[in-house]
Amino acid sequence: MNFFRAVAEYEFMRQALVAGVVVGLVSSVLSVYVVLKRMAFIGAGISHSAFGGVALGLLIFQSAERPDLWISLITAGFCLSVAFAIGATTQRGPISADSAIGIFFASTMALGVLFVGLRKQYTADVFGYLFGSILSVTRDDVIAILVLATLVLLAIGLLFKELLFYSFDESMAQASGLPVPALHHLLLALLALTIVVAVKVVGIVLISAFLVIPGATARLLSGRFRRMMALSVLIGVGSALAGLVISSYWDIPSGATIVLTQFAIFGAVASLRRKRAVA
Amino acid sequence: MMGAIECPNPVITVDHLWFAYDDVPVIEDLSFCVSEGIFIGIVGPNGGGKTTLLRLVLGLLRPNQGRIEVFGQPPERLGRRRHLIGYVPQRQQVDWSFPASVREVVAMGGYAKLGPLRWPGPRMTARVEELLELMGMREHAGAQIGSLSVGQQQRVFIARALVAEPRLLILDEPTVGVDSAGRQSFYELILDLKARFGLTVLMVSHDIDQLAHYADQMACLNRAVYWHDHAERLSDEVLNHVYACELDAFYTERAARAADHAADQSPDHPEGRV
Repeated sequence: MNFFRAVAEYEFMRQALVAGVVVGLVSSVLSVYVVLKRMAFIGAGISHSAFGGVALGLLIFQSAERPDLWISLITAGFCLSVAFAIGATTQRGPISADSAIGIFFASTMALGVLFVGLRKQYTADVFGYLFGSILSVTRDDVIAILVLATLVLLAIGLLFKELLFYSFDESMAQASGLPVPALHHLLLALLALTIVVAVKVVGIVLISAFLVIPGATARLLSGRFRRMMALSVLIGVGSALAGLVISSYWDIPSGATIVLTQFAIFGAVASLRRKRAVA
Repeated sequence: MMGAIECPNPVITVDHLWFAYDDVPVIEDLSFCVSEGIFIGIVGPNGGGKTTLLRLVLGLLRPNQGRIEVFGQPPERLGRRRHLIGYVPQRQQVDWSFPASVREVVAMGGYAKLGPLRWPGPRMTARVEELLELMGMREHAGAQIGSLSVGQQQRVFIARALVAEPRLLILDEPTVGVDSAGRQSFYELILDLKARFGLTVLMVSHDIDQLAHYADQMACLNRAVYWHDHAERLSDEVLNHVYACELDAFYTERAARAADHAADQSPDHPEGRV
């Protein structure tokens, strides 16, 4: 079916469109910091820990009223706890960041598997959370996505200059009096909230692509921070729209299509850069 | 003799300071005092505690024992007076491929003084432009920071450290990677800035020859530092001694000349000052 006609006719398509665009926007803004602060593995760690939260939410709130909202809230709590636990483990002891991420990544996934096992029910809905199911985004999901995305964008907007300095030169930022540990934890929290926003749209397994590819592609295209962020947003939102149209046209999974669209843009930009460098 | 911890108009006072990383001592019972307007150079072997001392002065590390005060307060409690310290970190701490222009990097130096939810206004913008001009970096203001030469990058970082109008400028190995001619003009720039803005300068460097030529006073840090009582001329023999930290602090020729001049002008003797 024609994508635009479907959007005009069906509410679930409009919800999918809003969710896709907002997730594309917020994750591409954050992906600039993820790329510049080399936080891609932390992003992957927190996103996989979301599985524990989703499975716990499904276990407890499946029969509750408005289960999607509850699952989003419990996943947010889970992701924030893991983000802060990774931050605390790496700051206070001899455990390196990648070891801490590896520990929480696997343990929270194991917890998720345990919760899924405890449900003793049909588990097809879990698959939707793992690989994304944008067409099953509900009105409550859209509300949760809009609220959390607004929080994330507001925090980044208000602390733009502080986050810029922290991203460039942590040591000097701290020496000049900026609260660097607080900024680090804030960035982890924003990462966790963005992952919650993106879980249903793109899936736990594929979220890291949203958090890395737009920023990495924009990095290849620009040597200025603000321009890099604008390009990252253009790529994030553009690929979300393109991915939705393509997936709707060929009736293929939307989350994977969006990620592959992002990858195609990255590949094209990287090749063009290489060609230009050789020439 | 251990360094005197009393000095006129002290900017930095360190009193029986001890610091260790995981029980490995780095600084042992260090006491010294830096008077306002002094350019002090600190040399010493790798692992001698030079950068650790700077991080303690900046308040980025807390002493295990002892007292450290900058402008009369522990550095971590300076609060809104924090901008009084300008810092130029080591080159390797920075990601030079970061997508920021020279102008953006210089402006960053004023962000903490500005405070949250406030944006640079005309006064700060004018200060950034003034410093770019002073550092000879105006024509490169739009360039990406990593595209500059090492010497130019250091000038940008000094401009950044000066945006918030500090009174103490701390530099950690600022001449690494700068050629000999560049180093000379770098030190002359530091002297010019010191005079222009009334700065006290604390510089850590391995560049002992030139540092000793331009600094008012030198100190050698190898876990502990000891102050020499009398001003004396700098010789190769002294240099060799100092780097081995057998003789740990002394007045340089510049300071000796200044001391002679001060003795002519005033009854106060500079002995014991740092």
